Amino acid sequence: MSSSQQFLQQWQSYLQQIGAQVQQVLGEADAGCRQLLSQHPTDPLPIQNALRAIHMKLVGLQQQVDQTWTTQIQAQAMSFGDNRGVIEQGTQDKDQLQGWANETWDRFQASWDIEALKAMWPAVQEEFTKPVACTQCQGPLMPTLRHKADSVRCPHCSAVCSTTPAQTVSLFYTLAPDAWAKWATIDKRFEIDRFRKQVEVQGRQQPMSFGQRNDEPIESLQRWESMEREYWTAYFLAKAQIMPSSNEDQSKMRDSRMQRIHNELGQYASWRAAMGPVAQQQSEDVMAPIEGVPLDQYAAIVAQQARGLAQADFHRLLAQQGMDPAKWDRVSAGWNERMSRDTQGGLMAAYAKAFAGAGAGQYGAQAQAGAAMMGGPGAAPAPAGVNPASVSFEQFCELMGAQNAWSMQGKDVNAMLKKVFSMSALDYSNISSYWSPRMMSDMSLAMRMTDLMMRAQTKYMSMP
Amino acid sequence: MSLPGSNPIAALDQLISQHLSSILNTAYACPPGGNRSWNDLLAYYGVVPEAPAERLNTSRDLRMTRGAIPAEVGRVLDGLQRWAQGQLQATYTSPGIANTPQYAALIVRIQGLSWQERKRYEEAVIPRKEPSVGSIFANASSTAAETPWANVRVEPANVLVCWSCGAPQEKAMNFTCRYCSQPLGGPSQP
Repeated sequence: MSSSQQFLQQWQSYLQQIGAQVQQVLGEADAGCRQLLSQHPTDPLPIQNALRAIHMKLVGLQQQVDQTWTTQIQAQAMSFGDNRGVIEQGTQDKDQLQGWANETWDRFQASWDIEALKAMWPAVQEEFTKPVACTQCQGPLMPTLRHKADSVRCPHCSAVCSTTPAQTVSLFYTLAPDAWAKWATIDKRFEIDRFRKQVEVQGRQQPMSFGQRNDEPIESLQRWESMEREYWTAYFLAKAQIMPSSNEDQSKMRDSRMQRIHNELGQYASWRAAMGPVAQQQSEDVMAPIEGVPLDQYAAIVAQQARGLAQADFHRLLAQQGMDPAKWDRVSAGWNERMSRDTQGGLMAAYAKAFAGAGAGQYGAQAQAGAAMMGGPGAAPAPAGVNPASVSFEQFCELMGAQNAWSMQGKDVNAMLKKVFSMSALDYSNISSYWSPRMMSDMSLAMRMTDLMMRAQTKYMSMP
Repeated sequence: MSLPGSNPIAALDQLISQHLSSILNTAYACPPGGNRSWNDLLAYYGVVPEAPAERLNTSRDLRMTRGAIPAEVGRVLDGLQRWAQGQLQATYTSPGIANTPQYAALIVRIQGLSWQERKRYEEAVIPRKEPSVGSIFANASSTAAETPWANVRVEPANVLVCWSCGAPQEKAMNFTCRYCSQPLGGPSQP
């Protein structure tokens, strides 16, 4: 056996060991998920926390493979005379394992997401049948919608009642549409991923000039485009089975996803030659107000909501802004939907800026002042939150390291932030917004960050 | 640091190994945070040591039972990598040399030198405490009830009553009180 054959055999045997470890982790995780679901059937968050930690474990195994390939194997293979065949074969073996591990994980996660939602469903149905009474006269109400907020006029006392679905119902309808769509279309996604991988392998075998992208035959690109179109059509159709949407809305959502694909296709000369330059979608103005609510007003209200206003106080805050909970839900869903298809990231950045600056600006000041006066005279003021400038860089790094450790351990990060640092996710987000730009402009901070974060991570990993 | 021998690539490779061995052995052999030999090595490579308190805190936080702190080891390795890159350029005397497998292997080695060796060192001196699958699920379950919104009760219905006179809202999306003409949600701030 030649030394290169021996080398490949060793490499394949190593990959098999990693594959066995992946299977072992998933086997144990399967039993863990089953038990967790029986303990918390109406709360999908614990299972999500556990799955995130399991995923980090699997990513760690994949990084180990990459590191071994780069540090030991590739360097060893470099010393063979003509090493192209060995390196290509070794890379393909590695890609095959990683492709299998990714697909196995995606299927595992999607399947448990669905199981968690199935476990919630009886509780959701029970909530649908629970009577709702007018808080003014206690007379029975008949909300037309039970899965989202609604406004109902009480037939007994004529008061307008804002009805709100129970937390289980809201959570179910937030998670289920995408979880179901992902599960229903997962094989189509794998088919696309495998096809692109195959193209990548073929591309590696073509001679390539340094820094140049290999072109791809137009037939292959057209096939990719058609597979993606079919995928996103099926995805939004499946999503509409849980959260109904019109054909027109489904087409709009599919087209926004296809725009990303078209932008990528436009990088290929063969695509441009055959199809002309990629047309940018004549999309709506993404910054246009939704039902009269501009982005900064929306962000300012979300920021107040995140500070933990009581439900009645939040309704009052909405009233000050000319909204009832039903309108707020529609506005919120609209902005979230726009942000989810924000290909350039501009909308997200504008939202983050408005959110971080809540309290400043026209709507921020209004929302903050409104929240402060909730509860009438003598009521306790809303919690002030943490002043980001009072948190040192070292503490910021400690917060990051601690959160990494908790994520890896499967703990609920929000619960732990509150328990250990008496902080909310909003506080952390504000601290991060304060320190991140400073790190970008001061390299000495960025260089210290990894060490400080790792120290904290190790420290919190050792804690019970 | 100079390159002896007739094959400059092999000589550089060997010299890097010698430096690495000296750095990592000295770092690994010292008690948590360092000792005099490690201080001497830092001085030799021109690296400023951390303050003693910082060394102590780091080695305690990382639960180290031996070895110099990774930040200092990393800085020495960064210096070695920069030196090796300079030496590699000096060995490039003809285009032919770059086509040899040894040259290519050395480029790969030098490019990842600091990062890889530091990672290897950290794995050797920082006790790993990776959570088991069982503990992940136990943690997920035990923190479930502690999430800030776990015990939030949502009222199924709520009537907006006038902030001023207490009358209920009677027309959807109309936020002015029918009785006292005040804004139902309270005065809107400027």
